[in-house]
Amino acid sequence: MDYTKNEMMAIATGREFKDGEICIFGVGLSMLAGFFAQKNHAPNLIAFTEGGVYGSTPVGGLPWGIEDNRISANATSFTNAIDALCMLVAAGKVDNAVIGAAQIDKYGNVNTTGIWESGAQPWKVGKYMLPKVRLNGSGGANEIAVGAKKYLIMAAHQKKRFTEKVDYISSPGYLNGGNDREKYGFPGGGPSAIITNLGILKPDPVTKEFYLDAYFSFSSVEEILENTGWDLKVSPDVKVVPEPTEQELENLRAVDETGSLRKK
Amino acid sequence: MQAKTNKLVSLNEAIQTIHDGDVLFMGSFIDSRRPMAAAHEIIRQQKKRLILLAQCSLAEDILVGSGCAAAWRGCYTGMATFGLSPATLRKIESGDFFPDEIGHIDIILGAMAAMVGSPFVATRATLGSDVLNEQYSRNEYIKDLAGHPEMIPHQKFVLMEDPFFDEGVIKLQPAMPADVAIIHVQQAGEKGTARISGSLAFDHYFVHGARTVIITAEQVVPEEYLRRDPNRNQIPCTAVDMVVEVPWGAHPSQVQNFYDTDSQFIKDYVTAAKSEEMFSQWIQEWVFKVNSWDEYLGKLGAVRLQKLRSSPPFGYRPRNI
Repeated sequence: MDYTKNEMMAIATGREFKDGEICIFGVGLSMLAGFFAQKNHAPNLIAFTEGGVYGSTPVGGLPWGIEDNRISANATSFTNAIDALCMLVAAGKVDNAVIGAAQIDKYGNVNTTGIWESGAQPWKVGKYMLPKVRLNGSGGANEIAVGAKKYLIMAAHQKKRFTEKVDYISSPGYLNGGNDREKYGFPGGGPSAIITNLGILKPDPVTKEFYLDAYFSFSSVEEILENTGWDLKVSPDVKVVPEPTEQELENLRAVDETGSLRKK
Repeated sequence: MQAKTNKLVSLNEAIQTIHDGDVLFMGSFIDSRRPMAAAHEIIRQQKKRLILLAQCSLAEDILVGSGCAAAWRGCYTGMATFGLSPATLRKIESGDFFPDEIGHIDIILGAMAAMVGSPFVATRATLGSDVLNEQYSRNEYIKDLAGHPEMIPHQKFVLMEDPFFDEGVIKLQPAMPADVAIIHVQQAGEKGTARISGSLAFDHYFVHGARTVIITAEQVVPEEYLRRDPNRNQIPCTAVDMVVEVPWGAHPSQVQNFYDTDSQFIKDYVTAAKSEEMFSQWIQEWVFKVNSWDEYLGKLGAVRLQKLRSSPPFGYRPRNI
């Protein structure tokens, strides 16, 4: 079957969403996976964004931003950022969500703020170190990581991204593992899976360290281990993720109208 | 505030009330309802050392690239689909622009605290993240930089145990007032009453936490007209100091029921702003070589603009027409 790694990643992410869930999506991959799920198997999924759009399905093309009027055309309500982020996310009422990651560690902590690496130069005043690469900041992802009942992390599987320790925790996963989230009383339960362009990692129920649960048919355990920067444990029952069905691909491509996932 | 009878001013006059070192909030999100005409005028008047709040996105990135802004307290340096904010990234990596990370809910709640006259609120947002890491904090430096240091708190945050429900550690988040808030809206009356459609973002909080509020509007309409449907007027006239009529004043961002995002314009900007030299050329071409927003619109041309017009009943322009 002809599909790209990114299409497989979006479909594998979309499969995690159940009908009727309240979900918050961000722009790009997150919306593609979420609105694919809504079109494919979860017609009653209630999608919203931090711009304050509730119960939305994009009309007239995929939105450019989280407040794009394209997602409000047939929404149930369109209010403001306070309603969306505070009333739903911070109060722990969101069932599921997707966030992205530039860097991620074995406990699912995510960095989207900056890459410092070794040799970072101190800034001219104070203790602050200049980032080698500045990223987009936490946006609303920190709030999702703290408040959503569960959420998914999507990231390209590369050794430099999947690292023992992230340079900066923008959005906390399981922090140092185990019950570490409890010390902050987070209303949300933490990341339920990391879905990459090679496979799916899941957290150990006790240690919360992410292990390899399944790989895509075009990948392998070896390829994933090679592209992970920590000593990744492999489930004894590691399985192959079912390939996309024709119907799934058709629905995904209807959502991904610009073909952004089809680019290799 | 005395209800002035007429708050209409020119864009030039409105922006003259902004001082070097002011803490500035620019309304709405990313690529929607952004006060772009106001940003261009700030660059033309060559303001310096501005401290930006919330995001460094479409409207802020040109201020950062032009050297009008020195620091920023917020959570996002991107442009959604259009990538990261190129000038902001360049200036942060070279050490010429100073970010202090503050969470999204922190910003909203900080605005709320400023609105209600409270010095702080409590939240769990950003607990466990490096937003709380001293090593990355620039709070003190930004306070020194501010024209009005009292706008910036002594400390970035304080942690304490919840004294009311025993729910463990909680963060006290200081108020986030602004010297100036500039909000672009669909319609405003001559006394300052303003009507927004689409996301309010958190503009209806920030207008009450800012010392000076400038409304730029697609249309100035009689207050009497707005009074016929007061439910839809989210910004009361008492919060507003100045009203400027600026049609197409948010181009290339979108304004619901008026026009859609000019995506090609943003893509061209993002490409240009990645290098200092090309950014300067872009600013020369689109800001300094045009003397006003009217001239900017003239340069864009009627044909380009009419292709962005929203079509009912969507409020934007479907891509297939």
